[in-house]
Amino acid sequence: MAERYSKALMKHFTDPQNIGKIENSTLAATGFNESDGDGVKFYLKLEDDVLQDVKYTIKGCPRAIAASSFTSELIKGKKIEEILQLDSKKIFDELGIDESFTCISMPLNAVKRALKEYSES
Amino acid sequence: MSVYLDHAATTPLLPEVLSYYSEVLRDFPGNASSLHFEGQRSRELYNWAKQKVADCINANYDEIVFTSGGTEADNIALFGYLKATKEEHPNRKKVITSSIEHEAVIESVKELGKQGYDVYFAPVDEKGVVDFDYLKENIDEQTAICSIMYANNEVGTLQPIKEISQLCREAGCIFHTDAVQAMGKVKMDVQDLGVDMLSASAHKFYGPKGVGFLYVKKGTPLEPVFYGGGHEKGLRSGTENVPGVAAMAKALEMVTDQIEEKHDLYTKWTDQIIEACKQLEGVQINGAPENRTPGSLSLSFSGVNGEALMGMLSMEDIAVSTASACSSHSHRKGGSHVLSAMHCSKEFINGTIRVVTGHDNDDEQIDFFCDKLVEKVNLLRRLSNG
Repeated sequence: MAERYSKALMKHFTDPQNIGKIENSTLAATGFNESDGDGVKFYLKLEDDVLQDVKYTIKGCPRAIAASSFTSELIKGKKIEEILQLDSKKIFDELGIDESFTCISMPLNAVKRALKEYSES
Repeated sequence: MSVYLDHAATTPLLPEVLSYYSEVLRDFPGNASSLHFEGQRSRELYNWAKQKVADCINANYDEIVFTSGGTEADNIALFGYLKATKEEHPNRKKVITSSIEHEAVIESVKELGKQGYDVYFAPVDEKGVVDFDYLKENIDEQTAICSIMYANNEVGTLQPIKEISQLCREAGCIFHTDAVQAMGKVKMDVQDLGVDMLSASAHKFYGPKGVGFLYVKKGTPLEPVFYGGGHEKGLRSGTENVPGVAAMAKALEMVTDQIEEKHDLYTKWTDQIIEACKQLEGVQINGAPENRTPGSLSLSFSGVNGEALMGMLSMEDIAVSTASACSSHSHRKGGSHVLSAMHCSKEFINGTIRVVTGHDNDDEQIDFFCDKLVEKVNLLRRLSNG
C-alpha cells in the first residue's frame, strides 16, 4: 500500500538542502542499506567540537532524501554532544512518516555513529 | 501539462464509455432480476453486454461470468474449479502457476498450498518468459489446474498461452489464464488459445472499476466460492451491475477495434522513449522487447532509486509507477518479485519505473516525458554523486 508524502517531506525531497561534498571535511559518516544499495554519505566539518558545515550525497527513496536534508539542517551549527542527544522521533514527526520506515532514521543514526567514534578516539 | 503513463495500473474511461456509462446509470435503474418492465429493460441490456463481451473474445454467451474484477475472477476460477472436482479427482493435487503472477493468483495459490494442494511456481527466464520445460516436466496426470498469466503487469511479457493450453489438454488438466493485462491490447480469441478459463478486468481496458469477467469454457466444472441469490448461474451471487457490464462491453468493443492501430502508435512511442534513454548510461530495459504488450516499458536506471524517480516525475505532473519498494520498511521488503524472478540485479530492481502508454496520450506528451525522464535521472544521479 502506498503511503502519502507529507508537505514537509515533499519540500525537502524536491529541494534537498546541503547536497554536495566538503573537500576538507573532518570526518565522513555513511549509512547504507545493503539489501538495495541505497545509502547516504555525510561530510562533516568540525571546529572546536561544533559542526560548522555539513554536506551529503544520497541515493535513496523520497523519504531518505527528505530525511537527509532535514537532518543536515537539524545538526548544522550544533555541538557534538547536542547532536548525540538528538532523537530520530523528531524527524519522523516533522516529516509525517511512521517509525516503521528506517530510512528516515538512517541519516541521523549514521551521523551519530560517526561522531561517537570520533569523540571516543 | 499532465501526462498519465500508468495504464497498467488502471485506465481512464474512454469519453464515449463515460457518456454511455452515465446514460445507463440514469436510464436503467431496474434490478435485472426483477420481473417488471424496468427489470426486463435492465436484463436485456445485461444480456446484450454479455453477448458483446463474448463476441470480442470469440466465446459463447453462456461462457461469460460477470464478476467484480480480475481478482474475483481469478479466485472463482481457482477455488471454484478445485471445489467442483475435489471428490471426482482426489489424485489431482498439483496446482501449477508461475513465479511472476499477479498477487490475485499468487496469494490464491499459496492459500491452496495451505489447504493441502501441492503448489508449483514455474521459474521464468531473464525476459520474463515462463520456463516451458519446467511446465512440461510438471504438468501431468496429477495436475488439477495450471494458471499462467497472459501478459505480465510489470514488464508486459506475453506468455506462450496456446502452447501451455496444449500441454494442459494433453495432461487432462484445466488451464486458466489471468488475461487482465492483455485484454484490449492483443487480439483475444479463446477458441484459438484453447484456454479453459480466462480472467479480465474492465478498468484495465478503459472501462469502469469494479467490474470484470471470467470466461469459462462450456463443460468446465465450477462451484461458487461465495453464496447469495444465485446470480450468474449461481457462480457469482450479487445484484447485477448493469451500468458496469454495459460500459465494460462498450469499452471492450472499442479497444478491440483499435488494437492494430494502437499497436503501431504505442510502438512508435516506446521506441522514442528507448531512444531518449540512449542519452543516459546505465539503463536496462526489462522484459521481452519483441514479445510484450504494446506500450509497456519497464526501465531500470543504475544509481537511481525508482521511487525517487517516480516522485520527481510526479512533481512534473507525469504519472508512472515504480517496481521498487522501500526495503527499509518491514512490510515491503524485497521489491519486485517479478524482476527478482527474472534475475534482475538488486541495483536495477531498485531503480525501476514502469511506463505504460494509453489511448489518452499524444506525441507532445511523449516528447515532454522523454525530456523530463532524462532530466530527472540526471538530477538524482547528481544527488548521489555530489
